[in-house]
Amino acid sequence: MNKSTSTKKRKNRYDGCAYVMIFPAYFIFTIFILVPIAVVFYYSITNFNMYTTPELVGLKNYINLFTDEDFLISIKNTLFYSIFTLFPQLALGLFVAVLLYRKSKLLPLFRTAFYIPNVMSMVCISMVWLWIFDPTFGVLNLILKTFGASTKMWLQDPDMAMFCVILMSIWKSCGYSMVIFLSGLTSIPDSLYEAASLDGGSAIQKFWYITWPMLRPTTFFLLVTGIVNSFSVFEQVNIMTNGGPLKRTTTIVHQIYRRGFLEFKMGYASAMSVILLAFSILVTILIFKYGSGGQDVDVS
Amino acid sequence: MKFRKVMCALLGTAMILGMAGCGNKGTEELVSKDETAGEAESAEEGQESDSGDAASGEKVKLTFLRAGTDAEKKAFWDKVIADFEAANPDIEIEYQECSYGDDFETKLNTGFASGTAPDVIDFTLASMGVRVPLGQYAALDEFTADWDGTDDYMESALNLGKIGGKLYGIATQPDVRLLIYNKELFEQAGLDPNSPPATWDELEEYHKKLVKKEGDNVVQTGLGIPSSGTAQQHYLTIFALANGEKNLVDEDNNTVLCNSEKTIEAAEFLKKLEDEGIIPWDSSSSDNNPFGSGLAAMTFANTTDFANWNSGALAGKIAMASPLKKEKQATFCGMGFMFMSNETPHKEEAWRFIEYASSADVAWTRYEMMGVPPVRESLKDKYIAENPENNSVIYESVACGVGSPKVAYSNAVFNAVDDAMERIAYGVEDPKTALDKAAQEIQKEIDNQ
Amino acid sequence: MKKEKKYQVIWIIVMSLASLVMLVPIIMMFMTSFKTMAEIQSPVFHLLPEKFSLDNYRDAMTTGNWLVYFKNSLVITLTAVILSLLFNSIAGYAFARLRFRGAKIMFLFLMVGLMMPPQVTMLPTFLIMAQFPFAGGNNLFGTGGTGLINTYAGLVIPLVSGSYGVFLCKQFYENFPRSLDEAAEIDGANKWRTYFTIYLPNSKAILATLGLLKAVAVWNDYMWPLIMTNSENMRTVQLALTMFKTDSGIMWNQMMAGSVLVALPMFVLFLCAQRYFIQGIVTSGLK
Repeated sequence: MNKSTSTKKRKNRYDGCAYVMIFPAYFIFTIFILVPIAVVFYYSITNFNMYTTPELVGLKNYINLFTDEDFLISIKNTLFYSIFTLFPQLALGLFVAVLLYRKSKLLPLFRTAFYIPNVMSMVCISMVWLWIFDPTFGVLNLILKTFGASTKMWLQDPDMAMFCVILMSIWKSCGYSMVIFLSGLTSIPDSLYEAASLDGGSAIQKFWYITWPMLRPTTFFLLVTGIVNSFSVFEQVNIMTNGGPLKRTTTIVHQIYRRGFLEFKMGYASAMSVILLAFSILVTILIFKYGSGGQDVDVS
Repeated sequence: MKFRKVMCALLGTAMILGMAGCGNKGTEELVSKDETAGEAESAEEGQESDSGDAASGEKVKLTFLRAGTDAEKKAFWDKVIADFEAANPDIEIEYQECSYGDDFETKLNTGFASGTAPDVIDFTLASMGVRVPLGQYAALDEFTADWDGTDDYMESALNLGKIGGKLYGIATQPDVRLLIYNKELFEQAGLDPNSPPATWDELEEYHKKLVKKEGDNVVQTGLGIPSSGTAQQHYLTIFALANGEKNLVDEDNNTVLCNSEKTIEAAEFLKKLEDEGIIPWDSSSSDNNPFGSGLAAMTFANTTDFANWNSGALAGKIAMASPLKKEKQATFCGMGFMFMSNETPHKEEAWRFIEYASSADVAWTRYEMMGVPPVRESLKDKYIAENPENNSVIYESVACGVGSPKVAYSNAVFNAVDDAMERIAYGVEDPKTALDKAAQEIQKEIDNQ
Repeated sequence: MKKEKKYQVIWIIVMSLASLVMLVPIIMMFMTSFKTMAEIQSPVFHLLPEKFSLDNYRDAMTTGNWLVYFKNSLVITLTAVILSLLFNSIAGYAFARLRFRGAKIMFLFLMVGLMMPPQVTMLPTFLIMAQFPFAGGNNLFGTGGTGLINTYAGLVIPLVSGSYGVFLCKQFYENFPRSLDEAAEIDGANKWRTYFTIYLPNSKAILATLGLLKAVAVWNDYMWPLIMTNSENMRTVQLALTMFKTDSGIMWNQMMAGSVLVALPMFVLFLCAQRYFIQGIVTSGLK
């Protein structure tokens, strides 16, 4: 610190007030995010059970993790969920945004319709979807019945439960992607499209050669934030399936919650958290390295 | 330039505070928790005795957390607390509530972890096994010397609150699993609505007659056995008990019984019923029970469920039956308890509240307002006289009821057995394989203790 | 021209259908809020209620003290939104425009915060709140009292932190023309004045965007208020909805009526903010 003070006095290159400006945000961030993360790291090498004095156990928790079938399944499920939620949701969001992108008085109406699910609470929405999927009274089976098809067990069926959770999550979040894509679209200069029209480009060509490349930073942004969000999927799983049937829908955070808060194995759960964090960071770094393609979104 | 200095000062403070936060709150605090808790206790005790001497001084404030959030029970507790405060002007009760299940566990866990747990807790029998060894619930023996309940309480109910000879909880609310059946569906299937099944063989026969299918789809089932969820272990327990087994584990000597011959036989019987045709449901919420929507003709549920169904679409169509019998007559019976936090600095006052909330008068109010069967011998005749047909069945069921095993690894037992029952229901494993696996998991937890 | 009109009609039809499909669950929720419990439990499903009666709304709102719950949620949401907007935008400005040692590494750390699910840090954060010095009867070392538990401060402060907000604000301010700063400097304005007189007034769009996202997150939060509040007069609306979950099942009609009312403020907020919402993200560098 002192060194930087003197540097500043000499060269007047640094803005000291910056520290004061970031102080409130950074202070809260430190106390409520960084310190808890550090504490989680510490717990992960103890046998902390939320009540008695923690004892150091070294890497025992981490070693146990890799023989814990439930945890390994939860990793698989989380990856499955992330891939099958994120990409369809982005594709749908983009598709709707492109469809919506035209001048119309009805635009705000449609935009609102697609965005509403996003402002509802997950707890409430999950319960409504529990109904939709209900094998006996649910709307989905009602529709199947009217078309003469045989009904399905949905959330009770081990092979379908995860897809049901995924369907609901796509429904909830595609409006968000749509709005962000829509904002990306509005910033593409019309002149590009006009030039393409003069050259006789078709709508598909315009999308492929103008819209898609121009939307890359938007897509990238949604991808990064989306991955982190879907890695930490919890609420809808906890309410709709509680990880079942046959553990087919249990996710990493669901395991963390169950082990830590309901089975008192806070140390063990913390080790899972550390793995999750490390994994999220790794994937994000990889995307930045190979996915940004030299675009102008940088976080540093 | 001025900012520079301010910045240094502020950032420095932030770092120190941050580190202090890390060390102090995160780790050292927990290490030294017992001492500080002790200090706090003695400090507050000092205060309390001061006010006690002054007599007119400050009120003692107790926090009371009850499980559940529904308005009807809140009305009951509001009344109990108001009456108690009127009779004990030196005590003030702060009422808290939280919904059952995971939410409640989370709330209690964070409370105990931070030293802000409520003084008096209304919670289930199943919580005792875990929380007594952790030292969270206080032993109540020092207060019960001249408590009228010692003689008046039903022997079984009183004993449920004991671990290792010490009394930790005062039973208030039996949560017994009654065999409930739908008379209308019985009639439709050509069965006598006044003679419900009493044995396993009869149950099987009735079940077969009650299952209705449209093509491959089951549209109505006999006994609505859950396919997943947290109540599956209760179903297994009910049948294992009737088959002469002690419980899922023997809490006296930590023997795992969930894969004993008798339990496996019970699971195989359940599987046989399932193969006839069931409507899969997640038993984590009794809301999903197909019995409630008239899709199952029989179920195991408690008195609250019965009252609820009997006031809704099924009103007048349902009845209770005595517990099933094979080797013996038995059923599962949970229990709601009043516990005292071991951390409370006001044990004397907390006991006064517990004593009041478990008194005969309040027990009767509890029956009148919520239909909860009282567990005091002195109220038995009065209770049965109120509704001879149902209340005698309830009393019989409570009397032969067995609760969850009170062991420190009870959560592991519930999870392992629920998972095993789910694997059996979905046909992934046969009963023996699944329950052997569950027994292994439980044994691992026992060895870890 | 004619062809264009035909497209327009097809477009409206297609989008209306798509919107309708999206809204099915919401419509179901809304319709259920008018039904009686017997209607809900009957095996035959009808979308429309037998009659539109407001009884459920009346019953739901007379269970418990909803004025207090709405007031709590409102206070918490408003404070969290205002504080987080102020703190995060000013930090975003510093990261975007000012040069200082450690900026890069500090910003990277901030991004780590984006990756930690809240369930993971919940317990340590809770312990910090319980042992907050000089609060709720605590001494300097955070013992003796209940800290910030069951207080507005305890509910709000952790929710103020927002890596996402700092990130978007930084992107947003980086797209401001440099000439603005130079002009301000020539006028003799220091960084604070530059921020408050030039940057802040021109960040309506990003603040509306972040404000909406934050408000929705705070308003809908369930887990944190669950463990942080004890007494009934601190309860938030999301917690209050659990009152309709009784021992023997959920009172769906009242639950849905309550949910509709609880969702309403956020819905209105979105309607008001949606114009800025789009702009905010456009100009924050994600072009």
